[in-house]
Amino acid sequence: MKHRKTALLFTMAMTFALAGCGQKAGQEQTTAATSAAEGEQQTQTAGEFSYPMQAGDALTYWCELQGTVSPNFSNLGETPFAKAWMQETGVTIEFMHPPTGQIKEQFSLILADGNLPDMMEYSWVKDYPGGPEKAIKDGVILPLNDVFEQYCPNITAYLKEHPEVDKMIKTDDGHYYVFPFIRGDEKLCNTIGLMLRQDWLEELNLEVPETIEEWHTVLTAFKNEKGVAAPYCPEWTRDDFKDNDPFAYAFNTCRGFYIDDNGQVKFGAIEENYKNYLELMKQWYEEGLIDPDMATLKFDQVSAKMTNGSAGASMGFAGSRMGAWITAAQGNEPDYMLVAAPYPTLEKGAKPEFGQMDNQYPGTASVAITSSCKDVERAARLLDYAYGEEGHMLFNFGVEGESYEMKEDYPTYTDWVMTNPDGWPVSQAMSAYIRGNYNGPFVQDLRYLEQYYTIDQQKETPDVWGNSNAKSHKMPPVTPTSEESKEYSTIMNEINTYRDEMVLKFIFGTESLDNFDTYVKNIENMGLQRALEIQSSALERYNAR
Amino acid sequence: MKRKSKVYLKLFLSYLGILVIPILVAGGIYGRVWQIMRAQTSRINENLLNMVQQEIDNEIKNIQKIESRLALDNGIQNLSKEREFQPENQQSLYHLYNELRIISVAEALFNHVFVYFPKTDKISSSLGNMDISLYYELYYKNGNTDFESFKEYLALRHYNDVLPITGSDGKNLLLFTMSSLNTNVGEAATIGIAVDAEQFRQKLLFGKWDEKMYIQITDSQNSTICMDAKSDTLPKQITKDSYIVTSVNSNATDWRYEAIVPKALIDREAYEIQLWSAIGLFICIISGFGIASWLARKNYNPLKLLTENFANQASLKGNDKTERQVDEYQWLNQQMNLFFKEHIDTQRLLKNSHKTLKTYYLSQMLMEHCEKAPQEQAGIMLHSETYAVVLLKPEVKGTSAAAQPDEGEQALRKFIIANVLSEICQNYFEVEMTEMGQQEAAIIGMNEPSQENMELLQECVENLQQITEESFGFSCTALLGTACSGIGGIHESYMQAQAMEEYINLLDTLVLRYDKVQDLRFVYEYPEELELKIIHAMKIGDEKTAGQCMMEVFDRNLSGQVKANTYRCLIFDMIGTLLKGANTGGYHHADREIELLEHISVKTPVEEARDKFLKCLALICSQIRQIRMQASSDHIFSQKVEMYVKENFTDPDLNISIASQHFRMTPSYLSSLYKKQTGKSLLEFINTVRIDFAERLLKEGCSVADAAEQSGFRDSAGFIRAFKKKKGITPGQLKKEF
Repeated sequence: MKHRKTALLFTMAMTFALAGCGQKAGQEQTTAATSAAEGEQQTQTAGEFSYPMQAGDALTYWCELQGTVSPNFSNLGETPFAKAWMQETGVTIEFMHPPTGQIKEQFSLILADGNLPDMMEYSWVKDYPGGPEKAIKDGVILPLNDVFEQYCPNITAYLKEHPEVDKMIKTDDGHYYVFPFIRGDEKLCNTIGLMLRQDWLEELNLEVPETIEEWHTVLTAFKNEKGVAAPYCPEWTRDDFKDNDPFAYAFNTCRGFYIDDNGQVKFGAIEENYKNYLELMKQWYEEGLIDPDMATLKFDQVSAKMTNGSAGASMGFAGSRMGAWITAAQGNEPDYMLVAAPYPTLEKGAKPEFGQMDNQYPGTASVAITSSCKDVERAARLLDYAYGEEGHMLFNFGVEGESYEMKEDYPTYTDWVMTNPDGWPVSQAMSAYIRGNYNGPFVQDLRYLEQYYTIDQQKETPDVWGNSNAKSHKMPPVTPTSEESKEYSTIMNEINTYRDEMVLKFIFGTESLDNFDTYVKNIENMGLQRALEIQSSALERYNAR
Repeated sequence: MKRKSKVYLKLFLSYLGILVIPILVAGGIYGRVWQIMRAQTSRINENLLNMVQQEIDNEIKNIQKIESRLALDNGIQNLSKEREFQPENQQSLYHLYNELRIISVAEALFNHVFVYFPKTDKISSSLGNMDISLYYELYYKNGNTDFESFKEYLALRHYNDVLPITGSDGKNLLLFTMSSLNTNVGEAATIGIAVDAEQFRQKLLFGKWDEKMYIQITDSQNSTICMDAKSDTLPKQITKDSYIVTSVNSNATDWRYEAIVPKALIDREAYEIQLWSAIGLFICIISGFGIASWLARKNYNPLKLLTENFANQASLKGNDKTERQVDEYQWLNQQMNLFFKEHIDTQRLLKNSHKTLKTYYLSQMLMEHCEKAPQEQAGIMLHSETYAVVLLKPEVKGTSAAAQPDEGEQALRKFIIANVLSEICQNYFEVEMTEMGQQEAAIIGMNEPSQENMELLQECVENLQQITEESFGFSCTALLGTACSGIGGIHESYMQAQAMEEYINLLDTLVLRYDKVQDLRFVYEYPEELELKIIHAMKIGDEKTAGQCMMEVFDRNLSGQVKANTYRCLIFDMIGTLLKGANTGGYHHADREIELLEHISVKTPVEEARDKFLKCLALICSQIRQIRMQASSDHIFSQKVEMYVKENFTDPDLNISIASQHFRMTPSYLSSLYKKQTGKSLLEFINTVRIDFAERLLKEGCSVADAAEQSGFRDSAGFIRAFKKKKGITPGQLKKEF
């Protein structure tokens, strides 16, 4: 026993000794690494910088995991795209994703917690309460002017070349606050529009509808001839779809702010045109042309209904909606085809005044460096990489030889992407290698879209949907001052909630449109005038940039 | 080398033998540890399960709370009554959707929340409002559940029910259902909360402390509701033997949480302990063996040296080498025993020779005068100024000197004497004992030769005598020499003591002291008339008278304190007297009788001497009487011859032949007969007579020639020659003297 005891003690002593050594050695190593990194940084700053950077601590990157990524990867870091990005830059990134559909809630939670990731990809301009200037003032994110100047030659060069973009991504105080998602071509800005069953149109011998009238005819025909319970099935729960409701645009209005012909900021939801739009909707709803569950329609239901023939018309993106549905439905129904319909007008042949058009800087998926970031240079250089030549290719086309090949100076996606051997849709296959097909902190390349849209009907969409004067009515990404923004958001929260509630009531008929005036009055009483003032001055400041 | 490895193997095996006890103890500990681990496992399981139970029960309570809230919701109750949803109901449905959506967002656990209105077959859910068919299509369509049964199940009245179901995306869902609390049966909406089973499975992981164990939720029918996130199916046979099942009941539902731990897991944990024990033991064995062998080598090398030494010795002695087949230690032990035995023998030998040497030196000192004793070498411790010697002789009381006890007993007695005396004396004196023939000599060293010391010594000796007499049945005589100074004094004292031996019989005491005996006066009395009286008595063979006279001499001299010399003189004189008497009596061969007396010395007891003398006297006297009887006849013939010669010597022709013719016998017979009777030759007798006559003539003044002629000599030359031969002087010289 004696022997065992001795052995035990011996072993314990050894363990402690080893543990002690290990710890110490580890610390020393860390210290050594840190000092080396410091030295390296100094030389890098002084001399010519080149990727990849020296190995260092991992950086945390918070972003939403896109729906086209999540079926195949539970973390963006697992994608070949992110791996290539990390390899090229030499930075290890820990991606953190909020649960799908809870991005705003999670964002609030993180802010409340105060323990911020190094980088956060978010719609700072729209969704940070009070706007980006407030975020800087709150100490959440860093102003990036010095950072751009010091560490970001690529984005600086791009902004110099594109002053209109430069204008959009600044606050009124002239602060850069994010590495922005930029649509590199205006064609990339027309992404949402109406679509309907082309095969049915042909079967019923109907033209693609252009006016409200024609739409009524088509939908009625769908309902009556094709026995579709509710032909129009919009994904109503998406705000960007509601903001860009084509049938509201037909009445030259929308539910939010727009710029009128005189360059004045207007709030569409209180206008007479909007009342007309609501009347139309109410009528269609009563007629059963619109899905009775419209208010709660989500992608799942809409997809199901659009592909199984329960609906014949919807609105959405050309890729993830139109293309996806065509591909999915053609499995069962080879004749199935969707066609993009132009933004409708009241009069036949007229060019639509309103339409959907993103700003080149839509404000979404832009990355800010938070105040918690320890190694700002590292983060900045990581992000700036995307705006350089190599980064641009990686973000839009992925890895050469794997996801694309250069054919006659044209980056062509490989078959792996276009006809994925695992049967992934193109959107999912692309999402493995690029961010070009959704968004992110980079400049989007049109050449992606040219290949992304594989079906002719898709390829038409930029032209079909882009045919409007939308650009002149689009509110640029204005930024209220931080003082104004709180007031503004308080007012608008109330107004928007009330408006959405009332809009449904009007459409469902539970509230008579006779009460529209009361509705308008209520909204005005909620301080709409003040909100308009804030928006107007913000626009003025924006224009004055 | 082979031999060496054999030794190591032996060492290792015996070492292992010692390790049996720790190994057994380790085994016992292992068994106990297993039991403890089992008990602990159960306890851990229970605690962890309690945690899990708390956690999940809380969730379930929360779910039930939300369900209850929705069940009590007026809007839902109202909607459930509708046979068909009118556009105006859409507003309520939209609100319901928002409400459900908020719940769904707020409760991270929920997959989604829905309300089923059986009358309209509508679902309002956090995922949107839709027909139940679409709902089924989108979220539950898969091979497992068909639409009809799904719908049927939802249409049933529920209260806190749970249905494990698989979603269309393959996710395992738990459908918690509760009917709204309407009054009318059949109208009740069903509130459903779909929870990802994965969430519960994740929560079950809290209780899972090892990959190999299973945690599951079972319902009251014992069917599994969900398992922990890392296990898919339970092993087929969960027998009591190979698994330990711990279960905790849920407080919120009829669920039970079960932890199923394979015993093999505990075995494995225990195995680790076992392994470590084994490794520890192994290390112990190896290191212990190393240390042991190192120590053994360290200790063995001297041992080996020893062994080799012994082996060399053994081979020198010519011992058989095959004996080394036994264990080296045993062999060594044997050799050691042998060695020590030899050693003891040698020591005994040495001791003996030492003793002999000592005895020798002591006897040397006693026998010869030497000034410096070789005390050191012999171990003789004598440092005193003066020494006295005591001679002790054991004697059996009551037995005569003739009956000497045998050698062995004598030696024993001497041994006793030596020991007892040295014991007694060493309190006062230096004592050295040695054997001197029949006696035991004691050299007593004392610092001054005072009378007190001598008295003390005598006391000691008497003490010794008393002891020997009382305890051992023999007495001993002691002879004490005086204390003489120096080493040389030993010899002196010894001589004194030895001289005293003569007095043993003279003095009737057991302790004889030289200084006392020395003082005796030499008195000797042997009157001549008494001697003559004895001789005359002997001449006639009167032994009685002679004996009386002899005893008178003895009595006269040997009475009271007698000095040895007196005795000695007496003995000599007595022997002389006897010889004289014998001669006078004509017995010339008395030496034979005297031989009897040769053993008599001063040491002979007086009585014995007396007897012997008397006996000798008697023998001599009887011889004389015989001789006298013979002589009375023979002497008549010789006297006749002598008469004839004395009458005829003047005749120059007278010779033996003339005489023989006269007595009518041959000359030789006459000559021998004469000689026999007288002891003289006849011729000589004739010459003697002639010369005696001539001498007288010469003295009367006759000339030599006349004397020769008258006395019968034929010529004067022969006369002169014969005369000179007889008288030593010539006749002329004799004549001149006158």
